[in-house]
Amino acid sequence: MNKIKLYRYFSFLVLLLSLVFVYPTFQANNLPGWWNYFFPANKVNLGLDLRGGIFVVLGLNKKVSSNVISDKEAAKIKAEILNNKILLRDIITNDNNEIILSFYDIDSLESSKKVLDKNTNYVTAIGDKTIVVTFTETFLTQTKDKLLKQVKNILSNRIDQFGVIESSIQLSGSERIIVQIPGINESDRERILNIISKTAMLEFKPVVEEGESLAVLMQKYQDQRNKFSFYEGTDNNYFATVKSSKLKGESIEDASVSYDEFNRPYVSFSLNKSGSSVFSKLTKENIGNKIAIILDGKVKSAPVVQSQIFGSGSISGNFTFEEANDLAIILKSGSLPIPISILQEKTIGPSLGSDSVENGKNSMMLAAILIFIFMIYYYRKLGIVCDLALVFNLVCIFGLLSLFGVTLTFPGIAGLVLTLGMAVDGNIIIYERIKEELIKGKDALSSIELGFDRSVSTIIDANFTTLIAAICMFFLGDGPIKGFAVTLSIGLFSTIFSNIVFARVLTKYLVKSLPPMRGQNEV
Amino acid sequence: MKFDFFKNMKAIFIISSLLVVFSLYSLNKSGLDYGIEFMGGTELVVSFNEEVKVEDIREDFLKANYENLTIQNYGKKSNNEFLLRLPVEDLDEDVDVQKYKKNLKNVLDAEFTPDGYSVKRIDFIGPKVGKELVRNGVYSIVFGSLAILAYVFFRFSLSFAVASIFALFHDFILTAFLISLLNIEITLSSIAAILTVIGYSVNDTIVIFDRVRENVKNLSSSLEDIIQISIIQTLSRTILTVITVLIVLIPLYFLGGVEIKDFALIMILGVGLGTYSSIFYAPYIMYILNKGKKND
Repeated sequence: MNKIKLYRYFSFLVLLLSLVFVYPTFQANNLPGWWNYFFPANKVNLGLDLRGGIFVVLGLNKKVSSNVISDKEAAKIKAEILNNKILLRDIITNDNNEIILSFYDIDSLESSKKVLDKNTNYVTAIGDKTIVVTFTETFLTQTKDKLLKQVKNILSNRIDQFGVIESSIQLSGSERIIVQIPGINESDRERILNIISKTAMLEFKPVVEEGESLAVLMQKYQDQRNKFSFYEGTDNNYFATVKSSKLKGESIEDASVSYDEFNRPYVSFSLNKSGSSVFSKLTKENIGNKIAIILDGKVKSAPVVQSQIFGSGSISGNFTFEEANDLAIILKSGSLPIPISILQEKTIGPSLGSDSVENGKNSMMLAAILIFIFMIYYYRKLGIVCDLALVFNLVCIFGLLSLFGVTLTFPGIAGLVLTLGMAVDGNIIIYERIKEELIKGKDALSSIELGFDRSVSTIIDANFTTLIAAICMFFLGDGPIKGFAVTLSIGLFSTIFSNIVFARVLTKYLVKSLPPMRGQNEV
Repeated sequence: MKFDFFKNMKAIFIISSLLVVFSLYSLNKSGLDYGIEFMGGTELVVSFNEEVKVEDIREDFLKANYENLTIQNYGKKSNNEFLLRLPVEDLDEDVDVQKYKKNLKNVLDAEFTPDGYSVKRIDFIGPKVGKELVRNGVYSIVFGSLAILAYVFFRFSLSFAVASIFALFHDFILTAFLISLLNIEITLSSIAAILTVIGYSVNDTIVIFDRVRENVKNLSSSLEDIIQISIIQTLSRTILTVITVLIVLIPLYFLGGVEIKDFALIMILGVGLGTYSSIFYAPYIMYILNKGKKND
């Protein structure tokens, strides 16, 4: 029969391709060099829940990131207006992220408005000698996207320098970053979390006064609050410094760990050209004074400036080697443009991961063997066909999973279990149908033909209904639901094929006659 | 025919529907035991080298003012592994995770030598992430059901589609109710199990409906008889499939680890419900919906 011949070639082709696709998953380290030229080298990865590792979801702080954006834009607007020689009384940003410009006269207000309206990112509203500037939604999302991408790049830089392989950093939605680092040991995980979550905002500010109590310092400079900043130091000391910082972390070109004469580690850094000139000016003006080195709002050290310093400096403090090393990594890869916070952290010890994999594997193996035996016991020859079809199905599923480089997680395995259950069910549907035809008195071969033909619509409808729901889950759900939906969708495709096409070819060639089956006489 | 399905279907339908309503009421009242993935909070799996009592750990944490801590044995009792859970109340939206974890470690160090235990797993989940997970989960189930409705409507007819969604809903609610009765925690793996149950239930319903569709075409009996014949014709397949599914699930239940055990238990219950609803619930709803119409 023509159709069967076509089915046979097609099955053979699919099996061959699947074997090729699945090869890298099992022989990832032994792939020959020419493989990549002809075939995909994608493979199935185990998810962190199965192999252990760190899973971190980082999020932008909505409020802070909006503040950062409006502050940045306010500075731009100020420069623009001064450029146009318009008299500006004041420009401030408020808590609602509005920029409020105030003027002495209506003329300047109107000419400013003209300038502002040229920029399509701004929405302006006029009040009493004031203009309130807000931003369009698209501008805000675009800017946030940009910031998030910057954060992502900096983070991957930091993680790479820490020396982790196979880590993955993804953007998720408009304000999330998901970092996954597989198979990391216990002592490294705190360090890496530290490296990831630090903003690493580095500032240099001349110290005005150092004291033991924050309250006393603040009291003293109460009248000039807006000119000074106050910081906590590392050993119960507090600093009052000049408010504005002329030199920031962006100017750092390189950083590394060095040792002082007592063999204590410290971090030395070198500055880029513009940073050097600012730094040399700053140190020249402050010879004999202390300059506070502030990292993320805390004074790390406040050395006395002995002489003018040009292109490099150092940060000391009671570091261990690891701390100094991590700080150097962070400084080198630059500070994050906006602070981020850890929204979710999952750390799974590798031993726990492998325990559950072992357990799961063993019980699945046992289950598979029992199913194989049951099907042969119940359906005899057809049971062998069913078992072969299941093996074929599994090879195809893993071929596709490898081809798409799917990461297998626990919910993903659940999806596979459902698929295989439906595959067995599909076979049962067909064989019961064949049995019905035999009971009606048809001969073996035509019973097989009719059994398959009549079951096609059942199998397609049953699998498709689930497939459609799985595709919905894939696009709408996240995390576990997505993992479930991926393996289920791929699995159902393969199941439909193996039940309708492959099992049919096998039956056609293996089964020429049918001895009475179990259950045939009972009905 | 040994059993007259239709004779009892009305009573079964009413009882099932009442059960669904009762389950909804009870779920609404007592709720489910959501794991930290959904509620936010912190979960630690700590493994001790020597034998440690739950009370000792609790006392240790009480000293440090962690009051709402729950402690369970994790896995076998002889493993000396414990699952510690801290609720979300102790966390702000923007809590410093590093500091928080250091505090927890300090608490443990106060009572146990650092070499005497190891933290095998830490999960920290902010409350925001959990809410999103729930929202996306609900979206995907709702839209998934609508897609099933549309497909079955397209391939069969509206009454089949409505009936299969009702059966799906029936299985979903009753599974959730059983989960709450058995005090199983809603974790990622139990969600996976519920999804699998839904998938199975739909599959089962469609197999029977498919036979009904076929028989409607070929037989000239009343819809009642057709439904009855179809159920009986597919009965051996239904039973065999349940047997094979149980063959898979029972080893999983007895040999699998903590998470797999819950998964298997939910599946076993759900598969039972799914089979039940596809025989007794879905066909009857389809019948009611068609009763007014003339059967063609």
